[in-house]
Amino acid sequence: MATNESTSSNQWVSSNGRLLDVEDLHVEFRTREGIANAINGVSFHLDRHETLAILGESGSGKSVTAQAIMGILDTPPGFVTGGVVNYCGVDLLGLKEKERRKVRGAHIAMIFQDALSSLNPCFPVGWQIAEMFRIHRGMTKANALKQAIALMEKVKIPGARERVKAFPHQFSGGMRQRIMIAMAIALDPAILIADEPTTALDVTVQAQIMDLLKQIQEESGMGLILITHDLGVVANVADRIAVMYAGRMVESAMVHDVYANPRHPYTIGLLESVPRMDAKSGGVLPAIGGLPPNLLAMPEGCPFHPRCRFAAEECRQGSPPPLTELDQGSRYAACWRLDSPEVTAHIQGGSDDD
Amino acid sequence: MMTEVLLEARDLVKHYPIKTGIIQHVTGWVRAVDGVSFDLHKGETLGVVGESGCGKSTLGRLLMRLEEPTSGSLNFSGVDMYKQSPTGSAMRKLRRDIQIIFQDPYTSLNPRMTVGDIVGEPFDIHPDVAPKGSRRTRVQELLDLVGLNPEHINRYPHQFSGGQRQRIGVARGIALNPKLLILDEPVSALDVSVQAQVVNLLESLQSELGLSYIFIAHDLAVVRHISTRVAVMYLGRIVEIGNEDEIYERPTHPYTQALLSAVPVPDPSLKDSRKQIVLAGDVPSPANPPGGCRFHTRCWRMTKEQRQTCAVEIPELATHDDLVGTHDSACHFAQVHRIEE
Amino acid sequence: MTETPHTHVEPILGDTPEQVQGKPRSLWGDAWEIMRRRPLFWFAAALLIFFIIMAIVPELFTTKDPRACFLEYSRQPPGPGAVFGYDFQGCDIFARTIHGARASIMVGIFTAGFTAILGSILGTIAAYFGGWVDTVLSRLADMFFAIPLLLGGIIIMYTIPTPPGSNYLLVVFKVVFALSILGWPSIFRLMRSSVLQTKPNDYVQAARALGASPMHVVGSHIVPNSLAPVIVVSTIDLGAYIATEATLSFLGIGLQPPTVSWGIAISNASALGYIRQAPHMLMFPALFLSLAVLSFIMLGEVIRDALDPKLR
Repeated sequence: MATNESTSSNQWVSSNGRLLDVEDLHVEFRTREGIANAINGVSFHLDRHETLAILGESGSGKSVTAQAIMGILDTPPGFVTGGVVNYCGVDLLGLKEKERRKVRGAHIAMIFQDALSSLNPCFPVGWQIAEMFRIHRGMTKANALKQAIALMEKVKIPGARERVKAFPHQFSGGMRQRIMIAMAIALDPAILIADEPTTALDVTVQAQIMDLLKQIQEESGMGLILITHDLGVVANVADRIAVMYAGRMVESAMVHDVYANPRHPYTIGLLESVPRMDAKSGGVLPAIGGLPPNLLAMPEGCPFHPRCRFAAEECRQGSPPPLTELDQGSRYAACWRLDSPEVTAHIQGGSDDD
Repeated sequence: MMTEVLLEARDLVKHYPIKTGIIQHVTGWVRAVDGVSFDLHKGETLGVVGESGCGKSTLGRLLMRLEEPTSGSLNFSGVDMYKQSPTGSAMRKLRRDIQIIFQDPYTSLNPRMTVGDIVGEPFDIHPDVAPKGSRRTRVQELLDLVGLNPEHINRYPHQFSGGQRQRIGVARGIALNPKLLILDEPVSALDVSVQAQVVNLLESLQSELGLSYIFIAHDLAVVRHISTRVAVMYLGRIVEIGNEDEIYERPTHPYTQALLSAVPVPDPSLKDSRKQIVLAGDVPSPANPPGGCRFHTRCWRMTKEQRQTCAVEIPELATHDDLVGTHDSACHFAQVHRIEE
Repeated sequence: MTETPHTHVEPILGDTPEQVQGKPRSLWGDAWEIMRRRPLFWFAAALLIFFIIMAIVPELFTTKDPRACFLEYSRQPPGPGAVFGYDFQGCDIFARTIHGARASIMVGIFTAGFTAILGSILGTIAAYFGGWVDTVLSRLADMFFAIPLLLGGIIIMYTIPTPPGSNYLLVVFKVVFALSILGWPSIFRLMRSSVLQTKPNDYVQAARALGASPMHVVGSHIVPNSLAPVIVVSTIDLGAYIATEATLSFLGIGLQPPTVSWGIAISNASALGYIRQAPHMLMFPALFLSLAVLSFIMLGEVIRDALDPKLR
């Protein structure tokens, strides 16, 4: 797969072995009603072969984070107001648009929730995949099309040779998402960002797509950032989880630790409130009360405190709690009351359930 | 547990014509719902699950008579619904007893009406339910009942969040004291942390008001939580129906088994112990469903010998004597298959 | 996870920050808030009010009789006696321009009103009932749509002759009739597509599920949610109709003297040779016409911006 090409990005790994290092990212949206702080100091990193899941609800800033990394934020109203996105020792946020465009697609690629609107309805899918090779690699038309067919076979589209000339609307939702994946991995990127890739798909198709992504990752060793709100999908594919709430990272840990032993009250509440398919959970679901905060009128103190059942005086005022290291640096959480007896006692109880 | 039957659906069929050309002649039919029968008992929740295009939403609209059926009968507490004149007084009375909650809280509320007008609209249409003077109080009671601030009666829908809007929709749905609520994906458009709130609300309303629910959803976990019985649909037909335990613990239809195995469980420690059945291909078009058993083109369990039966004969939705439990399954070779080890 | 030991946290509703800030606001209320803050809106509104007052009570602006003409003043340029000068018959141009507003603005408002009403009603019927009703109405609209506005106007105006000395209003309404007959299909199409977009919304289905009659569904849900584009386009069209009236009058088939209108004034002023010898005859009525047309178009644009949900 085109690895002999000079622009292949897999040799790119920064000196500390990390593929991507995001530090203290800030994004704000300047709207007519005021400034919405969509992201307030988000930091995380991604290694080769690793799947990082960014978990959050709508308005948590998970998709904005991805757009800021990709440099596809709509400006205005969105502005990156601070932070560093370090890829191969280069701060992407400091690059000129022309240089960033070279990174996009070839080094960091992205797939979206809505595959139909991400594909151009006027051109055959094969042509759209081949375009990646023609623009970035300067291949001839015939060669590029040959590569496109190979890619379509790789993402397991049946009858790739015949369907290369078909148009997007002639494919089902699952097949369209495969085409999106084919385009995304065409240039062998080091990082693939998948923004809710299976939300619009049925469960049986979702399973196929997640399998495909996993398999591609095993072959190429790319880092995968999976942005989702689905706790089930995350449990199955992620290595590490970063939980976001109101534009902040509230918890970050290895997947087993998060599910078996959640530390942040929001994560605790989220895991409890989701009904399980593998057991009848009768009675009242332990729901998180209240609503996600309005980004234009963020509560003082910890942004989660109005909904938090462990909230104390310290949570209601001052600055939001910072992301603190726990368990010898293997995990992080942002809460003032991490060590308070109510929260820790609760955690033990939660892990006993499983 | 078997109480009085509230709703009896028999052989419901809804085919939509496919029209082409300038003169719009019919070139085919989309078989959205193709022979669905079930009973709903008083006070129970029947979950209807299936993937997109299986006809579950069309079924909901047929039960509301928002669509006229191609054929079939629907008996609601002794009245044959489809035999009534669509605008007659008998039908108007039935409409009070069956209400619907929609999926999208953003399109289900008229943006130009206040919350008070939206929740009070049922009383405008059926003035005999609440006398004019008492309406405002009644609307405020309803808002309070669904967990909204009754003082927000003059707000407009866009001033509320998704979860709150869904509560407004629920308040409108229960205004006329219906007997049956059809819930068409009522929580799928909501944020995870808000879903549980609405599910809890629906459950508490059910026990307080003695409602029966038909809960249409694609989220199998939520359906299991809320349902007493579950029907699994595939390409316009019910392939398996039984109580919650039978469907989730002892499914006998290969489609149900694949569907259940595909749902990711939010627990990484179970990742390796669960055997996932990955179905090949996509759901066939309901305009041209396969003959015989509709699932046979994607069936993972069918052997070469069975093919002669599956591809030709249409399986009946019936109990199979040799099985544990006695729930209905539309498979010639129904058998229990465990997903977890 | 079986029975959960935790107490169920009551939802905290009603006192979230989102709810505290807002008073009850309707979409039109929001639109008004947006428009209020735009200078362009106030500019257009001020101009319009000026023109409408001029149309209703021209005596407020001039005491001169527009029909009192003195041939000896023919084509005299602006001066102390007449700020806009005199036309070729020696009538005061200022007085004629002020009095001309009434006919022009009446044509604009009535034509826009009639097309909006006729187009909206037929468009709603076509979209709501669909089937053959829709087919018949749509084809009918297409037929009228195929006639160019100006050409159609000329034909209609010629086939319905106006005897000399007819009532002033009768002549005005003949023009209104001609323009309305030709103008309704565009509003019809707009309303039809707008209703088609509104119809599948769940709140319409919810009302049907409650047993609401078609009249109730159309009246409370469909029309209020489909009308915005019609209002915008009708406002913009209003200006265009004023201009078309002027064009018809200019061609000599619209309003006829002794009616006073901007179109007639422009027509008279454009006769061969006058433009160079007496440009003021053309300039002042044309300026007023342009300003009136412009203010309606600006108002329409401001309303459209305020109603556009994408800009919210």
